[in-house]
Amino acid sequence: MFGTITAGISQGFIWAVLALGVYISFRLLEFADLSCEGSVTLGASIAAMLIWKGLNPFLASIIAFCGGCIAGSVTGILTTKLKIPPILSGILTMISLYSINIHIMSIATGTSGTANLSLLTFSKNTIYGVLRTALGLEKTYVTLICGAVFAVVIIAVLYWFFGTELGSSIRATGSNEKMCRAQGINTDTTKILGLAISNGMIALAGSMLCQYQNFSDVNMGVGSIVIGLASIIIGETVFMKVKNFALRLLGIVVGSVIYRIVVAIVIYSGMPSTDLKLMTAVIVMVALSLPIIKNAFYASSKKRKMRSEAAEIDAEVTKNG
Amino acid sequence: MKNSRKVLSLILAALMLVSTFAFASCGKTDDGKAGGAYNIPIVCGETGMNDVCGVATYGVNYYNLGVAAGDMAADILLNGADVSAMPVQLDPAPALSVNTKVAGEIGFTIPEAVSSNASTGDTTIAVTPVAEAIVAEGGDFTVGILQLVQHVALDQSNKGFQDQLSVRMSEAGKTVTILDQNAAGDQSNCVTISESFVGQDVDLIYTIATSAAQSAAAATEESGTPVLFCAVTDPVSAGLVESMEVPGGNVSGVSDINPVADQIDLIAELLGKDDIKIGLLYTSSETNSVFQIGLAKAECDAKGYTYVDKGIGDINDIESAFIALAAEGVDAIYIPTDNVLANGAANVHSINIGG
Repeated sequence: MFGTITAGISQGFIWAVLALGVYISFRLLEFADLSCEGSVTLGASIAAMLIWKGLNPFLASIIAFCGGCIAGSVTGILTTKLKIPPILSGILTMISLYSINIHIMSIATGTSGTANLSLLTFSKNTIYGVLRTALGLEKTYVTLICGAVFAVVIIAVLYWFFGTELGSSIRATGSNEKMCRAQGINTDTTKILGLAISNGMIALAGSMLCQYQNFSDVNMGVGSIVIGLASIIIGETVFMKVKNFALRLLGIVVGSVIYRIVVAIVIYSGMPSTDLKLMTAVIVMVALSLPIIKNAFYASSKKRKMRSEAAEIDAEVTKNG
Repeated sequence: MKNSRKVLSLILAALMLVSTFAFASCGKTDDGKAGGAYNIPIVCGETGMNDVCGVATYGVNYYNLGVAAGDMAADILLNGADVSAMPVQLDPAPALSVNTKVAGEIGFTIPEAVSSNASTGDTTIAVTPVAEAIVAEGGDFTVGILQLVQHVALDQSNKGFQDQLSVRMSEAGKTVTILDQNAAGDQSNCVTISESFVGQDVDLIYTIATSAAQSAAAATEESGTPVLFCAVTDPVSAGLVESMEVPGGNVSGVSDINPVADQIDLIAELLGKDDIKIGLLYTSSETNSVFQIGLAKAECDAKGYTYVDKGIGDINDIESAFIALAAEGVDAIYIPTDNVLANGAANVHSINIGG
């Protein structure tokens, strides 16, 4: 059980990077960006291909981040310059990345149409492999430490960036685009920039994921947007009253870890594997409806309080009357 | 908003134009096959597809593969066999099967030489599972099964494995606890399930499909838990084993590679001539399919057959790819073992007969 949960937590930290990326587009820009599913695989493919070519894994991850930024900018340009609706722009980037990812992985093997690139023989030359040799720890703990450090660093950088004038203008674009333009902000630029950062981080998550599971597969992005959104919503539910931006970002990391732990527990409990997807849906559903349940609970307890107060007054009136 | 509508309608109009041209050009090369019936004999990589749209093939039986893996598992658990020295197994005897129904529908006569060779009846290895050997909890051994996705062939490999393992266990007077998990097609679950198995300290992990096997291999790097795979076509390039003969690590298993060369030769036998043009239809994103197409091309080159290949991206591309192959005037179409096309087999057949 302990091992399962630690593995869940270490995976949660990796998915947290993805969730933070989704948060930028989904919450800060109010942009439902579906290119996410392609960007995860893009990051994984780039990192896997470069590691195959013998590049330093840290450098490979940074290049994967840059690749994601390019993908994000494409979505941004499609929607701002070509005026294609947001959802469709995301889908267009996502489906084109499918082919591009296969091409990238094919560079490594030299055979066209490589849809699955294994890093099993390169496991010493992944970020986790390198750190493992350097620290002399087990893989789970290295992933745990590495994930936590990554999360903290990324939160710090995001907190700083979205506090700058440029970052604030990106946040403002999501809040009120017309007002933003009235203030002389070029919202096209801020949108493209926001999407680039968002997809860059998603690709970074993909590169970490592929180094963790030791392979990149063209279908590995399937369902990632759901995991990202679920993590955001669980995090927001847990950190409901928090106004501080850094703490809200931390909430997403916590949400992502909670999500993975719950999935790990569902799997560990040995329930029929056919029900896995249903269970996942139920978890997200519960997380989504928690605020409403909470409010309904508050409202009913308030009503009860008011009713009992009214009864007391009534009683007093009859006594005195 | 108005602008985006305009752009959308422009795109739609352009798409309509393009598709009209595409259809018009297809019509030309069809030589007046107005109903769209192509009636091209198809040879598939596996029997399941052959039953739906093919005329004849050499088939791999996924239940048999599971049985072979079950034997390997029993050798590891009961006899302490060393995984690193267990060669990757193949289907021992792929059986020739013909589909007279489809042949009749497309008006193709299967030559006597082929049909007389076809095996009669079922080639599934008869295994009588012993239910008592599998216990829900506290068996002598614990085996984790990780299957990538619910799928007929993969389910067969799972069943064959469990059946054969139960037989071997009962023969040895032992019991086994099986933790059967399915990632439901989500690769992030593969990792979680593998880690969970390692955390539960299972004696062996049986994985079905490539990315499931890779996840388990990554998760067992430290523990060294034996991992057996099934339904992996090319375990060497998947990084699972060093070579088919000597795996070298904690991973080995059963490959589901079909006899591609035999199947290509079968096309020539079916057509009764050597001067043939074969259309190769496959999903370009499936590593296994690409690998088989490579083998198919090599065989074509060796025998001097000409070929055209058309890769598809997803199930919606089947029709256009099929029409494109027909337009090239191929004598027959070869479809490898391919998940997308297996799901679209009925579609392939209905396009072929113009229905």
